[in-house]
Amino acid sequence: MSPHTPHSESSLDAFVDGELTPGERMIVHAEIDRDPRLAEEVCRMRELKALVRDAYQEVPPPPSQKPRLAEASGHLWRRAAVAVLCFLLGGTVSWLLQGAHLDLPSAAADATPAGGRVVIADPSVLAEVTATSAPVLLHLSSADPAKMDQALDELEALARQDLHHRVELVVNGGGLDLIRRDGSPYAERVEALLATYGNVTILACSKALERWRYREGREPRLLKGVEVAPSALDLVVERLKEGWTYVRI
Amino acid sequence: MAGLMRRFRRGAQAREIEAQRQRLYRLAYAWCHDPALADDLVQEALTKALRKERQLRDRARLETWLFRILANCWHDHLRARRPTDDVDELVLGHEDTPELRLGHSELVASVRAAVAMLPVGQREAITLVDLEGFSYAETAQILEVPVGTVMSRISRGRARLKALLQAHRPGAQTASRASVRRLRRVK
Repeated sequence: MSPHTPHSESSLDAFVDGELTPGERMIVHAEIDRDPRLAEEVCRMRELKALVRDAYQEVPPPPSQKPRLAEASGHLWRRAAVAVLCFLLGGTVSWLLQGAHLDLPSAAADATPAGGRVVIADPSVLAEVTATSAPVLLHLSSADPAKMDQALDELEALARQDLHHRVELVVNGGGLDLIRRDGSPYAERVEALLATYGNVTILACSKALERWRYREGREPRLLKGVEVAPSALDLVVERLKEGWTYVRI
Repeated sequence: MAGLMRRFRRGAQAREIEAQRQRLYRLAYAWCHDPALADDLVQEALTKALRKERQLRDRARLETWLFRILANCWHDHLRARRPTDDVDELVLGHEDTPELRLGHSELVASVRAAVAMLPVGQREAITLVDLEGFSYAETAQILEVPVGTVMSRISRGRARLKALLQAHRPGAQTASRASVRRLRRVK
């Protein structure tokens, strides 16, 4: 390894990554002893390394092994999040985590009701969802007509069941095909649903629309009555915090 | 007899290759944040590895060799999607999957979202070093770039990660969105 200027960022990286020779390490150690800011920087880098490592200790299983139905409650997430925080820090609070946990439901627990439920849609559980009294957010990101059909069936069933019951459908990715004026396989049905039920809202993710615009080189034209959400993801998080049931089609 | 021994050794090696599946999958997931794609990339890499098994002379280098094949499969995939761009500098506006943020804890999800926003080259270097514990020299071999490039990618990548995670501080959401937009415009 080539000699490093002790102050340079990359020599600190090499230091925390164990890439320095014993002589170089001694120089950096001496620098750290003299300069508390450097010590703090090294501490932040180690935390960052630990965060990256821990963020991938448990990854979603490959689709072939994925269970068809996954459920979790907001309460469980909170517990898991707190457990991760405690595990990482052993009770101490650091600047980095203060930053990263912003979206933790617990941070806003006093102000908002308990988080909602998450359901990865499976025909066998949709009936159960239909029976809940919480408002429902459906999410479609697939261009598969069968899934579109399923999303619309579900939307209509929920809307018809109780006209005061709010139901939203947010689409992104391939799901955008559902609400495009040119080429939606269910154009009439979507417009009819929106015209018939005042409690139904259909939204397109503006980020997905942006990508679509970039890819196709023209403005996407949406079906009548379809609204635009700043971000599908933010909407999902928002609704869950408000106690809605979230159904991924 | 010698042939039998050779076959036996090759069988053992095939098992060793297969045993790395989980690690390869985890890394592929950290690169693309898409379980189905990660699974495909690993399958492709393992198939290639088993086919090229004889090329591997030094078994001590099995790991770097396997991860290099995986990196090549991932780069091929990116090139097929964006033939005109420099793969290492690609910033992929990652798909808005709620699983990315809600599948685990919000903290883990924030870190994953930040990693997903790094240019591909920096993302690969950081995950190989931090997640898999490879040295800079091994990372350089896997990615087929000079060690100096690995060092600068690590340094720039960490600085960017730090900024992204800091931007998540309470009250700094607007700044965070602005920085995301800035990053996307780099494409």
